[in-house]
Amino acid sequence: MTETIKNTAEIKEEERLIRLLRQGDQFAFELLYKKYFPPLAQFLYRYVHSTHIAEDLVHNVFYSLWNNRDKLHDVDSLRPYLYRACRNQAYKYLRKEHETLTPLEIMNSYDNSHDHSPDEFLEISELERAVVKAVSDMPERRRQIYLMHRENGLTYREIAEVLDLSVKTVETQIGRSLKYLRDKLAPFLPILIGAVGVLATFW
Amino acid sequence: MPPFGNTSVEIIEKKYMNGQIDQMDNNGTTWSMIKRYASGEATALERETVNTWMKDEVKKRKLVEDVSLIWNSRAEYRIQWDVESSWQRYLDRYGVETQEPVRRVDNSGSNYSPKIYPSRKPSNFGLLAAAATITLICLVLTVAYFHLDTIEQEAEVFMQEIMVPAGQRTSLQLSDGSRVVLNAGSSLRIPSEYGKHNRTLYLTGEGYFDVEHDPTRPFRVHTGEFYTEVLGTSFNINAYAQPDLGRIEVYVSHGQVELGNDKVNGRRLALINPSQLGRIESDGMVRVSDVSNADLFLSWIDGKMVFENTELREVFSRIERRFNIEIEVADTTLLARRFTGVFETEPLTEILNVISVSLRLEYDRDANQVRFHNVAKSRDN
Repeated sequence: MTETIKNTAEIKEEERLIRLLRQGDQFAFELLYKKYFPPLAQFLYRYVHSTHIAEDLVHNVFYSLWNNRDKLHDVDSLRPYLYRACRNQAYKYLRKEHETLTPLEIMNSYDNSHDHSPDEFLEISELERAVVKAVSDMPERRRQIYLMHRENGLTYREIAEVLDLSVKTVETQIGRSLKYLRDKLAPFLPILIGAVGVLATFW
Repeated sequence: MPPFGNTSVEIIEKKYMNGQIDQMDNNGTTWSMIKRYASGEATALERETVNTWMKDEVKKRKLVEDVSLIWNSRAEYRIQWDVESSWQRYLDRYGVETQEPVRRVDNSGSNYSPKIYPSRKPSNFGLLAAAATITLICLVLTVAYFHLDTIEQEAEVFMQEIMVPAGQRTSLQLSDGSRVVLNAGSSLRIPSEYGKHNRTLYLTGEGYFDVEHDPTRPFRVHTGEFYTEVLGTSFNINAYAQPDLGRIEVYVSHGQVELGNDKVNGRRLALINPSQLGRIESDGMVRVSDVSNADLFLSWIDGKMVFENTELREVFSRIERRFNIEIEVADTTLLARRFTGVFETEPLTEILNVISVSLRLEYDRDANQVRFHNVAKSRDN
């Protein structure tokens, strides 16, 4: 009950693709690649802070996936598999580049403070800008969990699996991140003036 | 002391901080439920529970509204990942032998033919052969293939389709009294059971919707894999499948709409309020911004064209559709130049002249073909 209920059509579709992939269907592989590339690359980008390297690492993961396609068992294991593989790639890369980094430091490098795009600023509201800032100020573990859930769409269980945590920890962190954001963003959140506006929202 | 004498909000938050995430309050509303409510993941029962919990209590409603706002704001900047080229680069690196890319876009030009035929090699996706006989709405993105399966299942009923050719606009009234105006080059599909339990439509192109208020029958417009849902309101959806722009814009004039993604459990992406524009980029990210000039988005209904620092790429697209012509450029950098202007009833020639003069361009015209280029430097004068 604490997780995203996946759409059954989507589950079926992915099951079918995985089945085909196991049989060596290259088109199924292409579809899976195109489906997962953006969130995985985004996830890796947060570690390595470079789009080129993020892409290279995703490529490594998919190459492995293709070579190990017969070992895939069911849908539940694909997403965590991919994210875990990406995380491993990130660690490997970062350790290679900066030999002295400890695992803790590697985890701490996972952030959103490297997203800069001047033209985007024009279109972002005050609230959104404040959210970005608030998220980047979060404690590292909480921030990572929040971003993996919010940005990559991973369920609590998947996050727990990828990061080696308990599901309860993940959920608590999400809850705390919301409370944290609410406190930090209080000045930017609209004041509830009349009932009418809100009634329209929620009824 | 809280003005309403009820401290459940603080208690819930405190319990959450202490890891007592599922502690019940009142009727069973929990923090995790509120979060799911805000992110669109809640079940109908949970929505009911939360609605009851916060009914008549301003502080509770504010909490839920705040969480919704936080959850629905873009908390991060997303990079525009170019999936297609990254796939090409993957193939270059690892040499997986490809099947021919057999996605064919059929713009046969005839007014009432289906727009896109996806087709594939020895197909384990047999449904796509059948898909060719059913008019489908697809954005020309591979990701849309996931949605095809869903549409196929939904499309066992009869569909009425209205297609508006280039150069025209159509307005119509639906069985429930809602009105739709469709712009040139758009199509609207209406299932035969529209209005029975809900009001579902499928749109490509651009349409302005004036929806009759009816809470018992949700009104939902699908454009590709995304949807826009309302109770009763007026809004404009611009969802022309443009390979180089690839985005959807929803502008709300009255009421409020929910913008969501079918692929992710009907996941709500954003709530859009009056005078706001919700825009879905080609990577699926949503931005909601305030708009002061409604004309930018609604002028087409009156046959006007309003451009405000608009890229020529888009200016030309709209002119092409409006007048049923083709516009080419000698140099693609021209497409990025920007134009500001308003046209109401001017004939095409005058519009082209105004653009030329204002941007120091020239054009050649041959019946329905127009070609813009920079003012020729070497000219025999």
